[in-house]
Amino acid sequence: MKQKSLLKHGEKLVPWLAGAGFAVSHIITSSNCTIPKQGRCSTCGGCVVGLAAIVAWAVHKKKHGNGIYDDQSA
Amino acid sequence: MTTKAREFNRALYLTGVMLLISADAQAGLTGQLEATLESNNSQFDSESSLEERLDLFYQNVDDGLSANLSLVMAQQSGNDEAELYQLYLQQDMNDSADQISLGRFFRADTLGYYSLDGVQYRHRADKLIMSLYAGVPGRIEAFRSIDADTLYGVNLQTLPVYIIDYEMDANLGWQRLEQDSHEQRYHFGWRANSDNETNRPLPAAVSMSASYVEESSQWEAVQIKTRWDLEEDDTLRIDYETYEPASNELSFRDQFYSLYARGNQTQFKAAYQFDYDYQQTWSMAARRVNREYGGSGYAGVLAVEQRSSKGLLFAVKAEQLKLQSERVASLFLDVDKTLGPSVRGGVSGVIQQQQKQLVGDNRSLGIELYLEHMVSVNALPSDLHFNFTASHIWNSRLEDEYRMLLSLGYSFGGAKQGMLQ
Repeated sequence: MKQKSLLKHGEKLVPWLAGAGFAVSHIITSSNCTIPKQGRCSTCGGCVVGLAAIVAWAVHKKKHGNGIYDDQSA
Repeated sequence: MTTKAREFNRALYLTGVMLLISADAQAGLTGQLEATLESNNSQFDSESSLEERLDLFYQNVDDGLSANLSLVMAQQSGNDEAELYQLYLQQDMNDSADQISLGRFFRADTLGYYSLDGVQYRHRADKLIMSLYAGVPGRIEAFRSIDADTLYGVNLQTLPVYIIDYEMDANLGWQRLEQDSHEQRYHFGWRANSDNETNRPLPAAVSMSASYVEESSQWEAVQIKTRWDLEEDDTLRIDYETYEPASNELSFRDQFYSLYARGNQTQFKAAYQFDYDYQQTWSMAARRVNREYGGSGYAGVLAVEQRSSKGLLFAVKAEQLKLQSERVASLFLDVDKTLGPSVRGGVSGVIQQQQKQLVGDNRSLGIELYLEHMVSVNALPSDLHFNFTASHIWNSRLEDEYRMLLSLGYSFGGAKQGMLQ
């Protein structure tokens, strides 16, 4: 019973954590990326994390519905 | 921008993204996240920029409450920015007859496109919409700034009325900018159009608008436009306009389009357009141009557009401009293709010969490619979209120019790309 409740709380937390992850990766990329400053990539990987997160979110939403083209899949 | 303001805007970004992802459309929240990487040398110096943009909308139809947050974090020319574009609350009252907006919001009028930190009230009556606004005007990146401490004004817009086959509306505005001194502007506008073909030879559409600046006793942004439907497929337009471009950044097409000028210009234009068939349209135009910088002269344009039933658009345009000390001849080519339900692409090309006093005889060749793709997930288009644009201009007597833009965005809760711009 307790485990079920924890799982439920965990599920509620996931979108907030995902949102925080998205935003933090974007903030880090937009403030620390060396390409606009020095014209070269320092391979920090911030942009990869940010972009991977957005692609992963698109796959997740498509899989679980709520996409704008959902009616086409019916 | 102060460090505190930047950190505050970043905190807003963090909160906005968390809200957007956790609440989604069910709570009335929609929005868009977009990352853009751009590299160019079009401002006479090569530079790259990275931009992360968030647009967030909240709407509660039952309570008539809506809100918008729009902000951009960017790195450009070594500067680290987090700029708040919009943050406002909007409340509809009395069955939407009254509306009040509070915060930072965009406005567009003869001053250009700008943000206003303040309040706007709109009242809709049976035949009239009245709006009052007051606040501190701000600057939007790449657009001309408004140099004033406060701005306030009132605008009256009539709802359409029908007078002898014509649908007409008008607007009247007053605006005051305050700084060390003040500047007052009066706006006038009137439009009439008719679908009734028996009105020939009267124009099918007429519109006039202008602003008058009291302190300098000057008219600005004067526009008189007429449209005459000569036959079923033939249209003649005769226009007169004066304007000053609001943006300093020109698009790929604009920088070749010799009628775009930095500074004031006046032009008188007559354009004739006819549809050869439902897929092919021909047009020709002649202009008399008077410029603040570069003198006056004439321009002529001949263009043809061909559409195919398979989503292909093919356009060719030839233009010749002759000003006092300047002669420009251009040939444009555009191909635009819808490649599928989620992919669109196109290529533009231009050949131009310029004879200018400062530059001499410069020949240019420019090419631009673009691709827009709604990324597929599980074989269906998703809310994820991808844009790519690249252009290169080879000049014989000037520095070559290039621009590359790459963007990836995601629309939350059905907010479509472009809708939030």
